[in-house]
Amino acid sequence: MARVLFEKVTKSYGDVQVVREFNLEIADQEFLVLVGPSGCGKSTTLRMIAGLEEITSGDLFIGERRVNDIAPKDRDIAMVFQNYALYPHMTVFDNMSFALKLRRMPSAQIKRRVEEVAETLGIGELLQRKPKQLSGGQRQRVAMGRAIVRDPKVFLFDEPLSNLDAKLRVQMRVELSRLHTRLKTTMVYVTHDQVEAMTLADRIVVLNGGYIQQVGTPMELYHTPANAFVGGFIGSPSMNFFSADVASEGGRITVTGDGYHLTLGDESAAQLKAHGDLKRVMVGLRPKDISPEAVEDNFIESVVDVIEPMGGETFYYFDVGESQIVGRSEGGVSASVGEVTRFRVDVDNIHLFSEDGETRLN
Amino acid sequence: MTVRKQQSAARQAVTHAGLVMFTLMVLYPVFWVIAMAFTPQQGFSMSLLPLPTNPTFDNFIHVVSTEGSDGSWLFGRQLFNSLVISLSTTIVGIFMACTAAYAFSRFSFPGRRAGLMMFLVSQMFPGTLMLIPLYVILDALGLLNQVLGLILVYSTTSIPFCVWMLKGYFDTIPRDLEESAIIDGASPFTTFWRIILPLARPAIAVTALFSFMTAWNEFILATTFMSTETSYTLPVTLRNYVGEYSTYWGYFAAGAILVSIPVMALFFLLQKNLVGGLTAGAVKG
Ligand SMILES: Nc1ncnc2c1ncn2[C@@H]1O[C@H](COP(=O)(O)OP(=O)(O)OP(=O)(O)O)[C@@H](O)[C@H]1O
Ligand SMILES: [Mg+2]
Repeated sequence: MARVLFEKVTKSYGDVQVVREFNLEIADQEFLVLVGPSGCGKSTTLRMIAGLEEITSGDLFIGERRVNDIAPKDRDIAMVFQNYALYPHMTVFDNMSFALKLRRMPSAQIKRRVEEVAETLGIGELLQRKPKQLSGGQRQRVAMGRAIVRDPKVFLFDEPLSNLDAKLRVQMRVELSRLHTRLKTTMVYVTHDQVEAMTLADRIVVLNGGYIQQVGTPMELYHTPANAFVGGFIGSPSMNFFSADVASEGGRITVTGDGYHLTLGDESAAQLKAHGDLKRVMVGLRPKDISPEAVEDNFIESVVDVIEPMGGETFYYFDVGESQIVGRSEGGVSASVGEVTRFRVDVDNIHLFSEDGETRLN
Repeated sequence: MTVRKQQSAARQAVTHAGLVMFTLMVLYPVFWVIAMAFTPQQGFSMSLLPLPTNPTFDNFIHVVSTEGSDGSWLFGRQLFNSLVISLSTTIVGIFMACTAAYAFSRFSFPGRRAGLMMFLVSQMFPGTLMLIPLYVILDALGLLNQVLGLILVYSTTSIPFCVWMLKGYFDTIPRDLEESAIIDGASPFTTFWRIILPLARPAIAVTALFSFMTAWNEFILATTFMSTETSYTLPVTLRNYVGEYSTYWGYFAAGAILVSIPVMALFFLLQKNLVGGLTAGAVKG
């Protein structure tokens, strides 16, 4: 059992709280991703698990053991740093075997273990090289190898792919997934890249300003974001937001404004009513749910500013009130710049938030 | 690069003429010393070209075989003094400076800023300012005319500079490396010994060289604290060839050349360590 449990964990630097009331249980063998914008406290949270950062208050458990006061080396964790942090004066072999030597593992056994892990990572040929003789991708593999040889209970990753170029990042992402399937070890992974979060995670924790915004599977976060922040953060291209007037028309609830008219489905309408008699809401719509089509209801009408044809899909940029909106269509271009165009809105996928964006209403 | 190649021959000639001139300006006094060293004691005359007349090794032989009043090998004794003092100063100084600099670089503790400041301030005063108090202290400790006395004095005066040098270098070593070592299970000492020190080798080499040279060449403190022939260091001996009534330029020059040999040797020895860039490859490249 190597679950990780946070109970009311906080972290402050002086008067500044950077992690607040963190409650979370990371299950054994789970791949958990912490995601959020820069400075939201992701690294700090990870480093508290590693023991590199003291916990200001609350309790942290790894397995059944409270680890607040346990030294990093006794926590049975391994960490991969953003900058790899390979020891530059040691060969790849020495880098990978450093921890094992410190544990006084017999050297024959160390050799076997390191070679075995290096082989599976495809760095078997590089064992006698120094880090500076390696490419970025190879260094990344060595850093992972160094973590894997120790056979830890929990792996911690702090933005391990952010120094790689786009292509290599995709490749390493796939390898990480494979690695998790093979090792079946608890992994906690920090990133600010929501694509990494979506593709790797069993569950995602979205952080902002030291607060947990939402915890859930990638699909939960995508389909039912708890607030506008999560809605905007998860999914690419980002969700569109605009505020709208709520009205009742012939027993149905509509959200309307300058250039658009949307009639809510029964389910959304009922959920919205449950929150009382609201006059204004914030509407969230993903680009895929806004596509050019001349329809009578559930539309947005505006002048198209920019069109981005990508081949398989096309994006349309236009304004609704103060907000810039992105729409999308499958295939080629079906509108022209500068012309008033009507976009069909898929109201089944509408996200309604309170006007301040803090709470989900449907 | 291509721009360089296109430079006209005339321009290159001017550049090189300038370089040759400055090289000569630097080397001219050195040539003089060499010429003096190889010229017989009485035969030396000032001429524009520093060339020895009737070259001979007499001066060297005389300097090296100098005997003390009791007939013992004085030069050997003084060379030994110089070596022991300089090497000990370097070792003691580097050891203390490394540990202190690491603490200043990595830990926060009360008095950290003040300590660093004081180290800096202590460098603003010339060593001679402390001559009298140091003399009194050494006298009280019974360390006058003792090798140990000079070692202590030299170490303490060189440590502040060494600490600043090394701290500056430690600051550039990424913290990730230490954190990684800590997670790997290394104790603070192991981290320091196996990770930080090997990486700081270029800086340690430079600092060691500086320490050694300072101690090796130092004259004023040595001549004040060491008043018996057998406790002299080589710079003091050298100085004594340039006397009030007679000056033995030949011995002085020969001695000066002999004295600079160990420093040059050390330079060559440490040369490959002086090349930095050992941290390359630690982080993204
Ligand atoms: N030693 C420190 N003293 C004071 N504040 C700190 C310290 N370390 C971090 N912080 C603050 O804590 C907050 C969280 O930092 P953290 O490194 O966890 O962010 P992050 O989410 O990892 O960001 P990034 O994506 O940029 O790495 C930041 O606002 C940062 O300024
Ligand atoms: Mg971070």
